[in-house]
Amino acid sequence: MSALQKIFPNMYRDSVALMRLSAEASDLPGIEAVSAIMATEANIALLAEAGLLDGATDAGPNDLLLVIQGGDDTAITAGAEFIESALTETAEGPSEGGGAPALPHSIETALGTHPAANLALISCPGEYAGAEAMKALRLGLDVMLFSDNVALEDEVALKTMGDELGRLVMGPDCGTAIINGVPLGFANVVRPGNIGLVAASGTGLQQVSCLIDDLGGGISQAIGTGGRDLNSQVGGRAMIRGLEMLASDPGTEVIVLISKPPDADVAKRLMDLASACAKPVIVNFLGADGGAGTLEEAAHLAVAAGNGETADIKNLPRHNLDADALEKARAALGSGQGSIRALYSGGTFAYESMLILQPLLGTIWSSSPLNPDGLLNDPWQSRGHTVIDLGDDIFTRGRPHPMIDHRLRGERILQEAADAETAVILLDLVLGYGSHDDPAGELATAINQARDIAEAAGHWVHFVGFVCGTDADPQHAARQAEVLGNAGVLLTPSNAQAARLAADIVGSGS
Amino acid sequence: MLALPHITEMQTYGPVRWDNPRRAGSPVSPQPGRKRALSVGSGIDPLHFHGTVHSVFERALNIELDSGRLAALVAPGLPNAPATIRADVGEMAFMELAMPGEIAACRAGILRFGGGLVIDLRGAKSWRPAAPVGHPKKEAWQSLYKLAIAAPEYGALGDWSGLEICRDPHRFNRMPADELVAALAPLIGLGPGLTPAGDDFVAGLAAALYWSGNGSMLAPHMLRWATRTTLVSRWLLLDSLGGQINAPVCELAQAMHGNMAVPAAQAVLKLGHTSGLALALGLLAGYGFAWPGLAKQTETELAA
Amino acid sequence: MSSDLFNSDLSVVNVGLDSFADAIDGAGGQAVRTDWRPPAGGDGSAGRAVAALINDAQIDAANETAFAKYLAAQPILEGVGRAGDCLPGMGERTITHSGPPVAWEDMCGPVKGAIIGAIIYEGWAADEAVAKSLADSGEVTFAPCHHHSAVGPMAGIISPSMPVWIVKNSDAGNMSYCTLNEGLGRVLRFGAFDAEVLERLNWMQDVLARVMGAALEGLGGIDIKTIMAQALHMGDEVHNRNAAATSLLIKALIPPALRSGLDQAEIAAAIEFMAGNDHFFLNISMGGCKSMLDAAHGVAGSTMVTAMSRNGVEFGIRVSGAGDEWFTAEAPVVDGLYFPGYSMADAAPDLGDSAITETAGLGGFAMAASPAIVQFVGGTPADAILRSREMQQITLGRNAALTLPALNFGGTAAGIDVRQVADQSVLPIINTGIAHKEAGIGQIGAGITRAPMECFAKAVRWLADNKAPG
Repeated sequence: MSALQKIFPNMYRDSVALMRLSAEASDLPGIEAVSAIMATEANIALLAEAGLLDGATDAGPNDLLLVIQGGDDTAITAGAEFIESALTETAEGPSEGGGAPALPHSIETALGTHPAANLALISCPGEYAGAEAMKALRLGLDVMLFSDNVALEDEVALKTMGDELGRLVMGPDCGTAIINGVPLGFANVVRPGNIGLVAASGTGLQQVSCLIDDLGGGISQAIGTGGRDLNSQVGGRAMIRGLEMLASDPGTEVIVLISKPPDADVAKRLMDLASACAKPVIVNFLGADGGAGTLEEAAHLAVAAGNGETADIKNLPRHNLDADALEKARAALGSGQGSIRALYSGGTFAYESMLILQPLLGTIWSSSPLNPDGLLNDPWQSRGHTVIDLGDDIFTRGRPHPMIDHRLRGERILQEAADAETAVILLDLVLGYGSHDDPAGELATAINQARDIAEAAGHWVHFVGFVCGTDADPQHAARQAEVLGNAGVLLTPSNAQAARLAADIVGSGS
Repeated sequence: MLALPHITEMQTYGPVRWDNPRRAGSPVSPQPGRKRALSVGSGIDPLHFHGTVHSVFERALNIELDSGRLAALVAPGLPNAPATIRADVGEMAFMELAMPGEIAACRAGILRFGGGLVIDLRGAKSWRPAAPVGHPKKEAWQSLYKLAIAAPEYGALGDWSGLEICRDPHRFNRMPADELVAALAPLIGLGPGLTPAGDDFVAGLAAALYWSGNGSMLAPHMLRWATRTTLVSRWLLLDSLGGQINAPVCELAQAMHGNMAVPAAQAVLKLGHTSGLALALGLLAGYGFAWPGLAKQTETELAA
Repeated sequence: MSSDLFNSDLSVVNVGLDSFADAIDGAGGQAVRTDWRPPAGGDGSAGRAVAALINDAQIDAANETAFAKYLAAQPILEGVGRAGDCLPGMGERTITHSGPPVAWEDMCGPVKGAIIGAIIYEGWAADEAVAKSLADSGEVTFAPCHHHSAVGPMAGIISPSMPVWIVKNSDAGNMSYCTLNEGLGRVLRFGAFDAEVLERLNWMQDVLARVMGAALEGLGGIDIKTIMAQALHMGDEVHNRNAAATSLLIKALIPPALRSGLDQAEIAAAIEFMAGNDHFFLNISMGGCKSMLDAAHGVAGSTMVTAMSRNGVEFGIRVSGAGDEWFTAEAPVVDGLYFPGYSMADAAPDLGDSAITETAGLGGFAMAASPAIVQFVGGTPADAILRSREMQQITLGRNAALTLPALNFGGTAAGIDVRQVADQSVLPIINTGIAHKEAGIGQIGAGITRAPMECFAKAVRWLADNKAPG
């Protein structure tokens, strides 16, 4: 085996681009392992852990470090050339004279070439993101801060400054928004309409907006606040501002607030503002009393309110499998098969799922459980009923988010299928901009392999899931649903229904 | 009727926007060549707005804001007005600095044009139109009237069919309110000038009415009238309803409450081609409408 | 007052993952793509400092003031004087050196050699050994030239008896000084101090100073900016290429020299001396640039760089609003073109006050005027133009008095803003000669180098910490 290490000094590329490049290079013949990273301390430690780097390197945090391991020198040289040409061809440097003008290096210089810019979308590494957001505010732009790992004090400072200047600060850790019909971050293509959303959860926003689209309604604006907005210190500033903006937006007639339950003082403040608002405000603090209890309920209430009606959320369908089919499904299971293994790419779906399953089934194990007694010792090993958020930091260290890269979930599916306890594997499929091109195709491959494994072990495993997306999304929801359907997945319209269906299958009767 | 040259609106390039019609090549640092604004009218948010360049002249340009109204960027020698930014852009004519259709956007107090012109609005004085409410001195009214009828363009106003009434502010003394509206309606859009003289007259009159406490009288009609004329005039008329009018007219109204009205009068009369004269006549008519006594002496003389 | 985001067309500046810009474009929005890199070469605290300084009305106003003073400066070469008499605060046992402050024991080879030479030249010691122990003893005060209104190339050593060019800014009245250029080969500024060097120094102090002084007096002074401006149109960038400027200078000085009434032999020797040294103008260029930048220094709140300088150990910058502070980093060894037989292993770290020319928008910033320079890095003439354009991204403005034909006679970019350097991670470019690390050997190459980022990171942090409130 041969190895090669190459340093590209002062060359910066974003982490996703590098991971994609590494992935492509790893498919080249004779290549065993390849990784291209910015040589920060953390990344170097990752490489060492992975056995790709022994000892120190001269590369510094502003340098790009490439390590390749392969069968022989020819293969790794070819691999290095492949990567190098990809890196230099995407470089917009001033080295090859004339031609296209160079891109601006900063937000301020970008304003010089585009004076009417009005929003900065910031997804650089967290240690720099807070400062970039501050610059954007001072330059008169609104901010969507996608990056996470931004300090709490920075978030408070940014949102305080935003309030002073009359600017909107979405984030940090804001993955999704739809502003003036333009999808920002991981967002779906939904019908325009009169319902405005403010969400502290990206996938929560995605599900509600897609369900609204499904029910014939439409979205005026969808504002993300970032996952930490509703804690006491931040005080829900972004959600409050979002609510205010939607309240004065002529295009919005109904407002929905979406989050996990906030800190009590923040919750009260928001509830007060919601009741004082002239427009109907549907409050969806998952699991809290009052308002909409699930994302699905929020969507129904919103669409009804948008039509000037009310919705009967007490009588929403439990799920879409009739009694006979449910009986057959239960019958297909062997004795000893009684566990649900829910493998989610969206954290809010995992949370909502646990809220629904716990009262029905008892302890739900997780790496981020509802109660501390449900904490898994080893997140890589399920037990009993387990609900996993594969987007959690534990799983995403050194790899792209599961909405982009399905390999980790694929492996876990096989693992669960091989487990004799497993009765139902529960899955979400999130579409839209930013997600994988063909998540259903990837998933179907893993599902079919899993069925083979289960069959060889002599038992049948159910797959239950839902597609969070629309037909207007690049991946086309209906086609994705068809692929999953062909792989034998029992599909429901929403996460809530999928969870209830899974519970019914393993439960001993309604 | 003498056919006076009809100055139309400067040709605009429609809703097309472009960034950087003149900048090719690498971005440059933010600061070079920034000009400073001297004053900003209170009708503009000096921190944040955006629009497209509507028209460009030698010493001024208009920006059509996304909010619908017009803002003007003018050379220091031109007067303050509610939606005007005065800035020293140096020796170059505005026509060399910006083109119709370019983006003009203000962010955090820095106004940037697509073609590269940058004006720093931070630190500029805020100008707000103001004039005393109440009736001016009779001597001042008389004095302004005499100066107006002696102005060189006074004769030309009469050559324009329909504008005759503007030459005679006395006609508005003791005029009933509905007759006032009927008299003013045909003046909209009529006459020479980028802001037609008829509009200037109505604006001056409306401002005087506002300052005499009769501000609501023309409001319902003005909203209709404003749609029948040029974009530039539209805002002149709508603003005048609330006494939002340019600095020389405000200062004239102010001066008419005191003794030294003559220099202020001359400052208004020399505005534009016929604009200033028409504004002054409108002011006289408006004040005369509110307080007929102001014009009384001259009336008697005429009758004699 | 609420954001009007919903009432406008969305125009998104994308910082980070490029795929987001693709999605926005694909969905019919407008994405403004950026080539973002971490600020200050990957320094989070510098990034935060920049965020505190950006788009600040007071700082921008201060920069306008400082830049205007720089533009208005008119350095006039008035004459030649004795360093000890001219340089303010120059004691009779002071020797100044290039770059930021450095202790004797830490100085690099060429600088120590030059100091020893100066001590012997002054007559404070008879030979190297005694000179060394005098330097060790602390009886001689060492200080940066910059602290005494002066600049010097390479080692930049100025001792009291040396003749210096006298430059006056006729606009603001500030004075600047620089040594006269010794020529090429074995010279003091590279650390040589043998008999030949000392003899030349004595001749310069005596004959050259006399002839130059008389000629300048006869002329009534020379406008330095005028010569620079012409030289920029003739292939010079007045740091590493000074041939045209030197020729223009000689042309100006010959008639008054001939009329001065001095001894013909002396005049001839002086003229021959100048004619034999294509870099003779460099020291005048440096004095002129210092004059322009000193005028801009000391404006409270300004982030404009007023000096870039190296002492062979550290690279230091000074900023207009930071008073006497030096912001330093390790001086890099230049990766350039080496004369045959020499390589980077032989090189001294970057040395000299001559980066004052880049600080004023000349030298590396005016590379478009002198395309041959880029051969040092294997580039093309188009690269020279691109480098000059690149500097426009980090400067406060352009100097319309110093124009570059290759940029359509646009003014050269000048007035480095430390905020922009840190924010965009674009470093000022410097054309420089390379000295051998051992004293006395001389120049062994030339190249293009960049000022170190750490200086600018330190500067923005200091400025953010010391920012006036409100």
